[in-house]
Amino acid sequence: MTSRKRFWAILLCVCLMFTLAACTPKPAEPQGNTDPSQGTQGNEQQPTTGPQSGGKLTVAVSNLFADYGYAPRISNNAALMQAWAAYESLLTTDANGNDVPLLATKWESNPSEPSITFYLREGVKFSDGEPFNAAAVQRNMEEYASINRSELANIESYEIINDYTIKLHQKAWSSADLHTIGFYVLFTSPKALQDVDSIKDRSAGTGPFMIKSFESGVRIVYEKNPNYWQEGKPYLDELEFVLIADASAMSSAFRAKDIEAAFATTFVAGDTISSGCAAQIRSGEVVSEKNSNGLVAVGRGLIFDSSNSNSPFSDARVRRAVAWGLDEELLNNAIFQGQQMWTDQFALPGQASYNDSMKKVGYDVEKAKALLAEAGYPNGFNTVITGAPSDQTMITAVANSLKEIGINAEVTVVDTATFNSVLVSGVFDGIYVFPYTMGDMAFYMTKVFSATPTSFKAAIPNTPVLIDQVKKLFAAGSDADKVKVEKEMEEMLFGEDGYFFWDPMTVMSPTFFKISALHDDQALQTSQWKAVWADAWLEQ
Amino acid sequence: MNKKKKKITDSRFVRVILARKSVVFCLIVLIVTLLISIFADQVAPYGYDDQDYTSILQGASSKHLLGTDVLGRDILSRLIYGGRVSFSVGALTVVMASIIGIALGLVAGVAGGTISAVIMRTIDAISAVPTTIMSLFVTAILGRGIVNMCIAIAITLVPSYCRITRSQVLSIRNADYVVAGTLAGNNRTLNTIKHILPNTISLNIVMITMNIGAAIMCESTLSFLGMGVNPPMPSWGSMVNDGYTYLERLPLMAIIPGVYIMIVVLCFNIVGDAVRDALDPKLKGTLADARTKKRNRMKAEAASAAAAAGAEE
Amino acid sequence: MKGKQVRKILKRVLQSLITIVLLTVILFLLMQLIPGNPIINFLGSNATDEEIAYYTHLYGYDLPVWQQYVNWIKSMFDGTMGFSVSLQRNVSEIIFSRIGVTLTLVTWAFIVSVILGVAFGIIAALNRGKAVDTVISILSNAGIAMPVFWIGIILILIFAIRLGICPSYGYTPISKGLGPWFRGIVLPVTVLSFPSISIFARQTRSSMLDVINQDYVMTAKSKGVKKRDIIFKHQLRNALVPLLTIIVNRFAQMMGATVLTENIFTLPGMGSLMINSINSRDLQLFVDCILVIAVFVTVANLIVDILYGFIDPRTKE
Repeated sequence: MTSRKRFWAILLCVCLMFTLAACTPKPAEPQGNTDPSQGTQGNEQQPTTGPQSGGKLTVAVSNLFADYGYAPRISNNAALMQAWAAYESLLTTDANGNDVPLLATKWESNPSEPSITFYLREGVKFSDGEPFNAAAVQRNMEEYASINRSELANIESYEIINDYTIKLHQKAWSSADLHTIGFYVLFTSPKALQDVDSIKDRSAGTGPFMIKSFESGVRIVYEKNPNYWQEGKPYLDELEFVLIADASAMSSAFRAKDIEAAFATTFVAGDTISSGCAAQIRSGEVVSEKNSNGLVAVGRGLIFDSSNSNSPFSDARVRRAVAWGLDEELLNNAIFQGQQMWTDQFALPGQASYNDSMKKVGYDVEKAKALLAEAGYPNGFNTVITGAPSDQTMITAVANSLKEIGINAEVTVVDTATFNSVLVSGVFDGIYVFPYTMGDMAFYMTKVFSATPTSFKAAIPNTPVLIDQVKKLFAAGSDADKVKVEKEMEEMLFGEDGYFFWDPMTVMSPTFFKISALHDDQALQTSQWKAVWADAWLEQ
Repeated sequence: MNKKKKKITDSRFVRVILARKSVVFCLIVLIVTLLISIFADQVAPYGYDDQDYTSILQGASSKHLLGTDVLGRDILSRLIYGGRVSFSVGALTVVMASIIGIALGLVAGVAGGTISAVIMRTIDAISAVPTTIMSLFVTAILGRGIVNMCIAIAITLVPSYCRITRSQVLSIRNADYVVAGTLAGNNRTLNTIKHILPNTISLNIVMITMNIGAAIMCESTLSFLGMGVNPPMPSWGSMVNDGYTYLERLPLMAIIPGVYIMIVVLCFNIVGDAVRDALDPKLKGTLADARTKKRNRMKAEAASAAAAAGAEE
Repeated sequence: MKGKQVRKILKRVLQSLITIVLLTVILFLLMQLIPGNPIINFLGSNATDEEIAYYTHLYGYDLPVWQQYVNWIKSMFDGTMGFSVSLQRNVSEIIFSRIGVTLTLVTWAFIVSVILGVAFGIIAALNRGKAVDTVISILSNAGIAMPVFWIGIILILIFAIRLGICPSYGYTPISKGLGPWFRGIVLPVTVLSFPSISIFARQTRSSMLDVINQDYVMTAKSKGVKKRDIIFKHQLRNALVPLLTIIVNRFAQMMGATVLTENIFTLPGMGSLMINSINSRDLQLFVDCILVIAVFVTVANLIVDILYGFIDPRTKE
């Protein structure tokens, strides 16, 4: 009857679908560079000519900020990468992590005053024609301070010595100020700051581009800044950042040649694009770049509710047991297929503050169990491990490994919004997987170890020894002193007898994919979240 | 006059259901899938969380019949365990929704006046928000987890039960035999309920079988959007989500769970159709006049078709 | 129109208004229950307590709950519908810029599914028992059971990735040409209309079959009225009655399905706006979006109920 025929027909359709699915050929394994520590400048083909002018570059990104016109409100790393097309800071870095001049040509620190003096570049204009000078610098810094930006919290007053020299008087000497102010304060024309509405979706910065149009949540288009202070630059006519939230869509867009570059912030996104564009990567049409100097890297680690006296994690031995019981390096390589860096300290191996000479914690299950027994948990205990959806894989893998030393961790995935709230409040149970920016140690450690901590205030107990160490960090006069104190802190936190308030698991590096015709963008070379848009050019 | 209470195990009902081979086939598929999921521990070749970092994202092989995912877990085993989530969500959701919905419908129908107006307008308000969005909202409030998801989906299903029950109450309330009973001295409310429940149950059962499919679909949607069960517990929707990321490496991972969802929902829909056909003639059992009968029938058809409308997504 | 009818219509309109007002209260209360803070999500996890306090006060999140509700209702009358913290502009501006895409999508999907669905249903009903009927019935049954996101993924895999004929992201406005616009919109519209075509086909078929045996059709046949006239004058008109309810229902579900569809195809419409706003806990924006959609659905229901009164005299009381 009809119904029976109907049935066999449905069954047939279903079987067809199975066969289709099974027969769909699987593309070959991704050929991306699997050794991130070597950087990938080698992948880029050498251009046959010098820089050519013209062309439009479309870069796919997974996040767009709310308003690129009012610079003081931009603090998120990913948004900064896009904002740096129109705005500049006083300093920048080179591929080796050294400070190089940008809007400031020279600077002097005077710990005894205490003050920092900046000597500004002459002949720079904002895109609206206004001059860049000491008065403009002061006006901008005051604006940042007025919305309570923490970078300016330590500045007492400004002294304009001449049009191109400004001295910042600090409340107390801090070795962190130079970098935090130097890198993160972006300059807008004072005239535009007077009338904030005029820079709604428009920019008035000193950068190579200015905002042409902005569709909230869709794209931002930049066009050449005719008043740019570097002659002949930028080479590109237009630079567009388009929002594509999904990595598979980014990969399809590449193949369809709808975009020329894509910025993958997570490992999964990078992996998806690598697989999807495997053919193009193999033929050299598409290249990928990763960061190698680890500047402004974002680490991901496990943090414990050590403040809670009822929690097993209030005992340092238990925390150290977790560090001994997890083979972080193996996990890192397995989950991320060797494409993310790993470190066991706050700094990356090779960086100045990385402590090579201290006694380190390795992987030893027996030692871990012994520590647990010593702390009073010979049979382990039950706990919870929480994290954001993007870290699902890592959380599951860690929970699985913890079973080996007897810790039974129940996996809980919370949505990103709740995750962010917990990061600020620091209230949670058990283990939390969290991101931390590996920038200037003093600047970041002060959020955790101070009389008034702002991060994880509930999770990490007041530890006078560490608070003192942070104060020493701020007080360090010379670079050499600073490095010495930093290394001491690494040992105090991550040495064999360290506090281990958190256990570093992996270091994320975003990946920048681009067509091989794009040169000199230096994306991710100077730091993990920066490209030099002024120098970028497209081979016609 | 004694109206014979309709028993669900009435032999006519069972006969009608079993008459068509397609329905029997679907029932068998459902029962088999359910059993496989219940006895997953015995049936599945691996555990759902057995990670093997040496064989990641492999295609079908003799060791892993449907391949492995990004953590080296066997996809076939995860599919089998995934059934647990789907079936339990399906069952729990419709039970919650029907109990609350029928109760509200009874109250609204019997009480009348302001109470009824408030209840019905609230129900209208809730049903003005599309299912996916409402369940998204509630899940954001309650968080992840099976029970929370069930509550979220149940809230969106309550309106259909409420409306059917209330319209039944209204149409039967004035029927001759109910009025007769009241005149004879029985409490009007209790009398109404006593006579309504048997008839209401049949319509609601149709709704239930239709809604199980809708609930499973909604659960898979929520899981796909990342709001479902907590890992490592697999759910078919979350497996499609995981597979979507690796769509080009291993399409199987995303396609197969979708096929499973389709088969199960399809079977529930067909069984639901059969149940409706089997119960349909029973609607003629009321003493309502022909016009009311026609209207009720059209409304019932529209309502159950509307439930089928809710069954996708 | 008689006075009694007008009174009935007004009563029905009043019902809808009450529903909407009730909805604003429900949504607002639910909003208070969601854990998570739009300010923290906007400022990022490095925010200091001072920064958080400053912005919380600036955007009025420290006002008492009833005050926030009143402000919200007021903002609907002055055209701003509140201020979105995550996107830093008025909600009405955001919704206005995004609603075009969603409406285009839903309208086309709707037109396509009504036309195709009813057509298939009629064909199936007229050819009952033959091969055409079987095929259509199979596809309709399967179509209802297919998860929307799954259809989307498969279409992307085939048409955007393997074949490359459709873009995989973004909305191509008509200004870029009719061809590109069509290619950009055909996949999302297919995904949206798939389940609806199936349901309309099924419903039309069964309604038509039901009506085929009714007395008045027999009477008409015996009177010698042409077959075509019977179909369109009698059968279809009566089949329309339950169909209308379903159509409105489908419209509501379709608005919900745009959430998934826009997510998968990266379209800048209301659906993706809702997902982004709930993820960034920008509840003002989220709740306003829901309200807009719910108003559409309520109005649609209202229109259908009034029409019911005109189409089918038998349902008039």
